[in-house]
Amino acid sequence: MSLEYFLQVFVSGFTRGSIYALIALGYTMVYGIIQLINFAHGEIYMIGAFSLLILIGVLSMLNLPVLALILIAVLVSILYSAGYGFTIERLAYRQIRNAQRLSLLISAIGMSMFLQNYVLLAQTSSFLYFPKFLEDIPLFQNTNILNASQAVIFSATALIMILLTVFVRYTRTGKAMRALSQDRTMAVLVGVPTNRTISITFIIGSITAAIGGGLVSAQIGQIHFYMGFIAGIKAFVAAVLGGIGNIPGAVLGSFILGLTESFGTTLISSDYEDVFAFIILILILIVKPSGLLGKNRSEKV
Amino acid sequence: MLKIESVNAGYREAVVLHEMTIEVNEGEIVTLIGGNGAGKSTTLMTISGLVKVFGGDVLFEGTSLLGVTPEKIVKHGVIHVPEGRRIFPNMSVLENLDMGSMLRKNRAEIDKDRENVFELFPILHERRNQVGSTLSGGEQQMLAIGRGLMARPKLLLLDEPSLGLAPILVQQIFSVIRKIRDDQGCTVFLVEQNANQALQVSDRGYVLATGEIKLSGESDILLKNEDVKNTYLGAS
Ligand SMILES: Nc1ncnc2c1ncn2[C@@H]1O[C@H](COP(=O)(O)OP(=O)(O)O)[C@@H](O)[C@H]1O
Ligand SMILES: [Mg+2]
Repeated sequence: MSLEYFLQVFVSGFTRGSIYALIALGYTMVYGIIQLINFAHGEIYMIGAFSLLILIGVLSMLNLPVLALILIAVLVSILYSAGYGFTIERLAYRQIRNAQRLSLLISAIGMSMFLQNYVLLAQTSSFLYFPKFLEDIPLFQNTNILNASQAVIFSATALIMILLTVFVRYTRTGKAMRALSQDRTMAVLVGVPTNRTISITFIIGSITAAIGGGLVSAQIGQIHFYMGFIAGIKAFVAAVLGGIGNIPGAVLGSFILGLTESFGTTLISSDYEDVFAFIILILILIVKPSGLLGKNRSEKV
Repeated sequence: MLKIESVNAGYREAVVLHEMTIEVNEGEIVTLIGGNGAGKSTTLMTISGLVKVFGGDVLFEGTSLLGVTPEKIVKHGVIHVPEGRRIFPNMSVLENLDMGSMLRKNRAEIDKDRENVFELFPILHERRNQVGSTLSGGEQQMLAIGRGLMARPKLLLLDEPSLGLAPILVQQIFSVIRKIRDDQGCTVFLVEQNANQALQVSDRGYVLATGEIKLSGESDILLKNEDVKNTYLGAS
């Protein structure tokens, strides 16, 4: 393997990892706060992509400049997807938040199936063409280690990570989120508004997932109602790998998974593309179930 | 200031408090003593809105707290420092204190209150950047009380602050409780198994057993009561 080829595979793995990270953040933040694996989260990524495509279609009838069109479509699709995340929590989780974990999990799986089938019926079961805004133009003259679409995905992901870190660390709502995830009862006793904070967590997770969905679609040029399922499961594996509930862990796990898939498909066979995630999941569950950065939290009474 | 009137309260499985009536007046330190499982923590959780009330009423400054969310109760100035300290484990001392003042806006006043907490507990200032889970039991208890004070409580509910602490720390905590009331005019409702010292710092006391108030009165009188002596103060 030449150095250039190695770097190409590396960058492509990193790109995958970025997308997984954008989705995994939502899983891990929601889990941190209400200990729920939100199976419907992958569907938000899918809805982000579908709503973006529809908005582009509608807005392109208005004769707007291309950049303005994309900007408006992206913003509206993000808001729309955030609305879905918010509504899912209100409808499917809030009432049973304090019930057994299994009830919540079943509700989440039901929500996921409902959303998939809803998009299947309302849209189509076949692949849809998606305009490739993010072209694979090489950024450097005589090598194609890094292309424009990858650069956009990295920058967007890096920016979101930085914003999110600052948010969680320094803002009142960010602190409320951390307090809730560390000790829910105590958070309530210092006056954290539980419902509002949980809603905001779902909204933020949905925003990053929708951005991921938009970026991927604009890079690969097609979308499908099932896209959120596979990507969602992989991002979930990444979150578990890093230590579910842990934000830096989710990012680390995502990059490890992205790189593993990228090198695995190159060195072994692309037939196994979707297998690596499950191998990683099984390994981590055997070796360190709390994940790479997860702490073995003692059960709270 | 606080009136608990014929309250029946508890959990889905069982009613724990039976016809409980307690009154705490402004500026008082009132102690609720009782053995393990008597219902002391449940009483405080009833006030702070964490427990189901089946009957009766809880009034603070004349308004009922029933059906009010815990966060609203905090806004009323009723601050609960729960059993077991419950320090946010991954937050620093400073962040834990900031959580206490999370509903307040006035930065200058918050800074002043933080200085005041550091004056009461100088060790917290030394440890200010240390993460909560790495503090000793005594330091965690100080931080828990400090975090409560950061909310500028009108009524402070303290659940067994002396539990598991070395005697010298117990002394320190009780004298701070006295100071909080004397210097800041904060009313304190204290729950303790350590009946002797708790009654010594308080004005009045109630005795709780199996969810019922058995006895109440001035602290000095309770300290001399034969039943209290035999059951809670150790035969002496
Ligand atoms: N979350 C709960 N669910 C059901 N029963 C509880 C719960 N917490 C406490 N109890 C019961 O309520 C009674 C009083 O408990 P508690 O108020 O914690 O007593 P204390 O603080 O005086 O030790 C005990 O019998 C205990 O078993
Ligand atoms: Mg107790």
